[in-house]
Amino acid sequence: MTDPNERLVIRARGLVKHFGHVVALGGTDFDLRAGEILAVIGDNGAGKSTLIKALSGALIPDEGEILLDGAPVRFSSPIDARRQGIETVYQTLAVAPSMTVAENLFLGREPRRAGVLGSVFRMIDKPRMLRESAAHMASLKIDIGSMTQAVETLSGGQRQGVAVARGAAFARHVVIMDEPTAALGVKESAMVLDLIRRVRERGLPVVLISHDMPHVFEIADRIHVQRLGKRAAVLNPKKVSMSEAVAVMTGALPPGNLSDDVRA
Amino acid sequence: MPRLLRLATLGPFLALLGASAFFAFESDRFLTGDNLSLVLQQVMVVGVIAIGQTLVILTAGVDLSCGTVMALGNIVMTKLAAEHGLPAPVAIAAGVGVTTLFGLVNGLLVSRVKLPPFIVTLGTLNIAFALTQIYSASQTIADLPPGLTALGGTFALGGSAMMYGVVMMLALYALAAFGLRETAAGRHVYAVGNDPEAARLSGIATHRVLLGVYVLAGVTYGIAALLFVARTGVGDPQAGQTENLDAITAVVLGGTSLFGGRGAVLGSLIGALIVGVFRNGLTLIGVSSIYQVLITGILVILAVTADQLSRRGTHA
Amino acid sequence: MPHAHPRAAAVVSLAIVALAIVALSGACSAQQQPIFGLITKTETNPFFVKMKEGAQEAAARNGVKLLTGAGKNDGDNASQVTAMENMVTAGAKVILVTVNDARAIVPAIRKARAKGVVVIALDSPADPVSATDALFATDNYLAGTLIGRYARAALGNKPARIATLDLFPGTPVGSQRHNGFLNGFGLADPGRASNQLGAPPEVVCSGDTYGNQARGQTVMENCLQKNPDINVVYTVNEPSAAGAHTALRAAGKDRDVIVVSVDGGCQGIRDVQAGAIAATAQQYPLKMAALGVDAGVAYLKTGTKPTGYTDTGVSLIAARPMAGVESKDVKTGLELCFGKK
Repeated sequence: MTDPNERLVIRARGLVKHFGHVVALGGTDFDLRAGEILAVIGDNGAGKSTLIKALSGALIPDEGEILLDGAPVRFSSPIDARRQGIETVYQTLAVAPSMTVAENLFLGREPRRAGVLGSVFRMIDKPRMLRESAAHMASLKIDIGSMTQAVETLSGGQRQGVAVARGAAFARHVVIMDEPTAALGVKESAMVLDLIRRVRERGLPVVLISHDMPHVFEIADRIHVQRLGKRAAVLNPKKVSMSEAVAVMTGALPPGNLSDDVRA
Repeated sequence: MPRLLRLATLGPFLALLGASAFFAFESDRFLTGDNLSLVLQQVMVVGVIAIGQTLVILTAGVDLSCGTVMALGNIVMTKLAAEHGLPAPVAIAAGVGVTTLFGLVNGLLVSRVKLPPFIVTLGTLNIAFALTQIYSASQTIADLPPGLTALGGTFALGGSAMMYGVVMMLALYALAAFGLRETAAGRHVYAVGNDPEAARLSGIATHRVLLGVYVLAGVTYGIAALLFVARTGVGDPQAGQTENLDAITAVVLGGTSLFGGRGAVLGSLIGALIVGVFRNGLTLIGVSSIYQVLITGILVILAVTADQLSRRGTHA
Repeated sequence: MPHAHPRAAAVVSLAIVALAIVALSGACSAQQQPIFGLITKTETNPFFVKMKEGAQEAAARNGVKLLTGAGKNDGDNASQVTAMENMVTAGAKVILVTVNDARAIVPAIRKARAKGVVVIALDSPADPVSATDALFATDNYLAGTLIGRYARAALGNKPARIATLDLFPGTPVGSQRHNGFLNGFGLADPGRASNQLGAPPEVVCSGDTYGNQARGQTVMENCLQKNPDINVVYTVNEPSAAGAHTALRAAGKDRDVIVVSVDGGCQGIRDVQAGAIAATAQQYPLKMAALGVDAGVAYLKTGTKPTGYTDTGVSLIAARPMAGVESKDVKTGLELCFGKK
């Protein structure tokens, strides 16, 4: 289905990270293709979250290289990664509940008014914030009535929508989503999965971390299986079965035993 | 979009109107221009301290040292001017410098060393108090040069006398309200108070925001010290002891949540006015002043309860 | 092996400390200086600074070692209790105390007296007064009476419209001065033993100042709003009088209104000199401390404990003397005052 020669947005080789005596990453590779949704699955202790933190700038790997659009990068902080075009939608959403949708969308990057009002008085351009928030929400078909509502008045799915919209609005290369459906019910999860598809339609590749196998299989183009600090396999959700994928994840099925057609 | 009086401040504003109506009804001297100007003068000092306290409380912190730091400021500026002969602007700058320094210490301990604000400011409260008593030998400082008390002068406004210091307080409130509402730095204060982790992940330098609010608070305590000197005409080592809790009371009565991230600074002005109106009104109608203390306590409970109930209502 | 050394070190240190204690106590008992304690309300208030001076001078005169302690602020009982306990442990035979909280400190006093320590109250009585062996204090009721008499004489025949700027509810010092003032002025009052503030109709306005200047100013301002024709102001102490004066001057009334106060601190006497206060009742903290120490020394010599209440005296200081009211002049007041001269 996917062409192995397609452009790699992220290419990581040999990532190593130690925490004292514990080897969290023992030489992990990672490939993210343009325009795909790549799910990352792995049991606890497999190094899944460490891998994601290395990609989002939350920690610095001891060894290994990361190439973003072919150019080598070093992220010194999550803000640094953000500046280089990688947006992360955290599991906790990182939204300020009492502040409005528009304010949350632009949190940390509030636009300033033109001219003296902006440069001397440092006034935020609120009309622009409202306009652009509404536009982002509309383009992702997120159903939120007013941009001036406090985020805490929204449902869980709508709040996730705000966090995803923020990631999609500002990402230039990648959106990383950490357990986006974990706290949601059936209907709202379906809404968020749709949303993730629309992000991909915008041309942004998505790295999706999830424990929810049905959701992973529903939406991912490829599945990266992380095990024991390394990439065990990359699977094709259209060909591999859920139980096989889980077996690779837990080690019950050695990746060497997989047939070629289930790989991606 | 936010109006001048949003819901958080509407409640306190109605309480202020209600109290004023009551006292106007009970005493024909309450609603006179002179009396209202007087009430403004009486809340001037606490009002300005409350600006700094609001900033701190918006970050879910608290500054217990506000009153005693103000007192140290008033002693420093008056002693330097009256006994060491420094020109008034220099003495004032030194006083404000000392209070700002305390703000810096508070801010660094809270933002860098990550100590709880309650504990840090409890410590600086005691340090400021002791330094005030030691430096002044517990004596009031009189015979101040006119430069120090200039803000105590008045001008005519509609038949009554309005004090310059009151105008300064109102200007500071306008400035604070603008900063908190219209600038990114102001919105970041709310974000840090509401959800510090979300703020951090959004790229906000939370430790800089925290340091900033404590330092700015220190500046307001210095200005409040100047207004105190302007109003009383002396440097008073006994100053600030009731202002500590009075300022926090004003902020709470004004609808700002002690849990951070919610409230409007103008509410603190209303809160300070509520306390001032009660103090003034109860004296006018001849009620013993211990009832002011009782009523203030009841109002604080009501305000905090109202804040809690309104928060529960907004959750979906 | 790693554990033996710390244990050995501990044993050796304890032995050294024990030897040191024995040696020092031996040295101490060689020169047995009697130990007295002085606990004041606060450390820096000039009133107590003067008192400490008096105590130290009397102690030196009598070859007594003086330990001192104080509360952190007015009303701080806990620090005074701690100081008392520590002084008793240190071997003090006599403790002089100006109590911050008349009732709360009584258990600590009782414990000290049970160990044979003589406890003398200075300036403020404990509640009950008998909780201490003796009391050396100003007669606050008399202080109030003197200034009340002066105010009446100064007012002349005009009908009185009085404002009282009080301390705060429930303090004997505040009520005694207030009621004494009413008594001296010629009005009905609840008597010197009462903790209630008398309120005859001539008192048109009252407020609590907590003894500080800013509050005094606020109360006076509000009272003037209520009754612009106030012509006499009783104030519980000189800082609140200074605040009242600022308010009166702002209202243009400082020449017409008679302000009286209590204390006799040097700043207050200067205010009398400047005309901000008409008259003040001066008290003598130095005398309280000196008499207290002398009584303690007498007890050590004779074995008879001091008892009862000794009036340490109060004088009326006024810039302008009034017929029929005995007063001392400002010059005398300045000589005897406490604080920065």
